[in-house]
Amino acid sequence: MAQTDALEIRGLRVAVDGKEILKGVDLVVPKGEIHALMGPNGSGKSTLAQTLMGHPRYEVLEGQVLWKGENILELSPDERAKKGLFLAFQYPVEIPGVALGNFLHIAYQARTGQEVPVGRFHRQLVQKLKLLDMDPSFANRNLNEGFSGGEKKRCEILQMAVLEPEMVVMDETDSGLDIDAVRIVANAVNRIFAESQGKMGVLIITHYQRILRYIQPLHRVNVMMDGRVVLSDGPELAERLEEMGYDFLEKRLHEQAGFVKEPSGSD
Amino acid sequence: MSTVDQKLTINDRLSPQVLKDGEPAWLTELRQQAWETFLRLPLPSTKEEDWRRFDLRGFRWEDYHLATPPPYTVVSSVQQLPDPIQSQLRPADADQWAGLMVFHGPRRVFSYLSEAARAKGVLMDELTTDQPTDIVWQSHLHALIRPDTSKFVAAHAALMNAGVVVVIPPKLVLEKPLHLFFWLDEPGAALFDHILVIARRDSQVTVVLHYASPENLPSGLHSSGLELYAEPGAAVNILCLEEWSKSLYDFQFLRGRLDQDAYLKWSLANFGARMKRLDVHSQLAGRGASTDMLSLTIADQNQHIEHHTLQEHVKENCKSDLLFKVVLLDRSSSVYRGMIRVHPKAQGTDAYQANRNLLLSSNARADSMPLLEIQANEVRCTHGATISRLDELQLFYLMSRGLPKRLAEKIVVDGFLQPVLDRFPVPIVSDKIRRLWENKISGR
Ligand SMILES: Nc1ncnc2c1ncn2[C@@H]1O[C@H](COP(=O)(O)OP(=O)(O)OP(=O)(O)O)[C@@H](O)[C@H]1O
Ligand SMILES: [Mg+2]
Repeated sequence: MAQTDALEIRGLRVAVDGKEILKGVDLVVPKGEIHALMGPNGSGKSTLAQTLMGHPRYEVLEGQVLWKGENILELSPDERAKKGLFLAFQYPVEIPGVALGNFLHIAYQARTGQEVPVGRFHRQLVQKLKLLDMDPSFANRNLNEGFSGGEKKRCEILQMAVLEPEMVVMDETDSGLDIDAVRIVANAVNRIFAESQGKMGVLIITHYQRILRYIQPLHRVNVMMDGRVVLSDGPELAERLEEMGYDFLEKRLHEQAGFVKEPSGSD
Repeated sequence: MSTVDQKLTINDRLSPQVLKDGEPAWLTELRQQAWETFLRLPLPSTKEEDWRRFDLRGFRWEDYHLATPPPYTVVSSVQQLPDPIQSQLRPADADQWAGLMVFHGPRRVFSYLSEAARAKGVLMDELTTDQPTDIVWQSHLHALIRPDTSKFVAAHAALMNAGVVVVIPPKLVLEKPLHLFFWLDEPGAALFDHILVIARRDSQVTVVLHYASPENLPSGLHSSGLELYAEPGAAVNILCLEEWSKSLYDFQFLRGRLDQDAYLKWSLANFGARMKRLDVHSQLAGRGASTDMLSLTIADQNQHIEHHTLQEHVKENCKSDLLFKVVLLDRSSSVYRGMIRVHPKAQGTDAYQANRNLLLSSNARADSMPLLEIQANEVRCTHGATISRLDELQLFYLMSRGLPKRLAEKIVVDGFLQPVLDRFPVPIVSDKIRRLWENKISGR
């Protein structure tokens, strides 16, 4: 049964340049929950994130992605954004000549279909910049151009704060952030989540426990290996993984004969 | 009195014969010489380095005739002009300009020069036999653009069918721009306009040229020349907005010669033409002269637009700064070929040249060839060319924030072109230029 208030990924198989990367992903992230997605390098996490957002290079071979019960795989990226999806990129893209503030004003109006006067928008933007501990001058700088690695990541969360999405995928937003910045970003996510009052779901892709420690509340941790979600458990799974590593997990999964996968959110 | 041999005509409507009536003898002679040059020169071929990408196989002189004058003569107010011309001239009223001249085909149909400008001695006139215009013409015409440069320049010199001369007296600072508008709405018509601008010592002036035709004009030929003299200390802006239909062949030769401490800024916006060659030279012939050369081009469908530039540093301590930006959509293509030439005497030269191309389609093609010829040793010359594509990743990133593809492309193009437009001198024209590129981006 499709859940009307969740992002539901069912048997998703995806290829890039003819190579199959996702080999049947099952994952459910309900609104009002924060999930983590962990897994070794190259296991397909970013592939999943980009596919969810509709990157044209990723070819869906099979499966479904339902958002609020509707299959979104045929939609263009902008249509998905209008439906409330948001991806914080692992590698944010530099756009020369386009000022961040202007861009967000245009994007906000495009995404919500509402016109907002520049002045009012700018006042809101300044608040959000404060939330991310970013200097107001960023509004006038070209989108990501010349931003440091950490600034780019913060800027992704700034965009999320401004665009008010309903389902967020954060692809390794914590990598490249210094210790203070991780806390600032995590707190911002907590705050945006709390303010959404159950209207937003979050999927945090990460390798490290350090960001998850700050995330409140963290509902589930999912593990992806070789193009599948192989394990899904409570927040303490993140700690165990960090202690024991993926090798250990792999062995254990092999030992469990007949183990295939355990979709999250189904318990 | 007929000095032009009848058999030298290509057809009875494309011949200097048509034009000579009532002209001074020196001009008739000049036409004849140019015509002989025209007949002697071959059509440029892609074997010539300078025309390598300009494929003229589809071009035939026989397809054109000299533009015929419209069925009315001079009118006394803009409101009496045909609607299409009026709407092109909006939103500005005549009095937003220090002077306004409107050409419908080869005929000047409206002319206005403000009282103030007239009283201060500004001259803005057609090619006439009246003094002092005739003397100015005779002493300057084709001094900077030699008719044997190419067959198209020779044709232009022989067949010139519209001309404007502007002379700004010494020390006069003309606040409002002069505006020359050319409207071509006759299929197959050829317009060979020539503009001569002389800015006397320490004067300042902005001249706006605007070339337009109905969007669906099926064919046409435009080969124009502009010769500009900036005397010592003069400061001149030449802004040229070209929005021909995408069926015309367009050859534009723009030449500026700068004396000591003079300044010249070219601001060029190119939208139309099936094939176009824009040829712009700034000759820094006096110490301490400086020039800014700016251009923006947006091409789509199968347009082919070429930009050929020369920054010629003849004397010492001159400065030139060139920025040509090109946006290509669909199957369009462009060429940029720019030379910085520094003469042996031109010590202390400071020359900068940048050509930036943005391709929004994988079928578009840009070529960029910066050239240097430096014969002095104390010089600073920098040049750079970039060809970038709005790549899939940038587009995906912008769309993932909720921007439809067209809007994403538009904001990237805005970001690319706006810095050039910001340096253009006449806001009311800049607004128009911006609207034109927005239409071109979103109208696909
Ligand atoms: N164009 C391509 N052709 C072949 N393989 C590709 C292509 N693009 C990506 N891959 C492979 O797909 C696999 C999954 O990549 P993905 O970026 O999704 O991993 P990830 O889980 O996000 O890794 P990381 O933790 O390092 O970010 C990798 O092995 C990668 O090399
Ligand atoms: Mg990744």
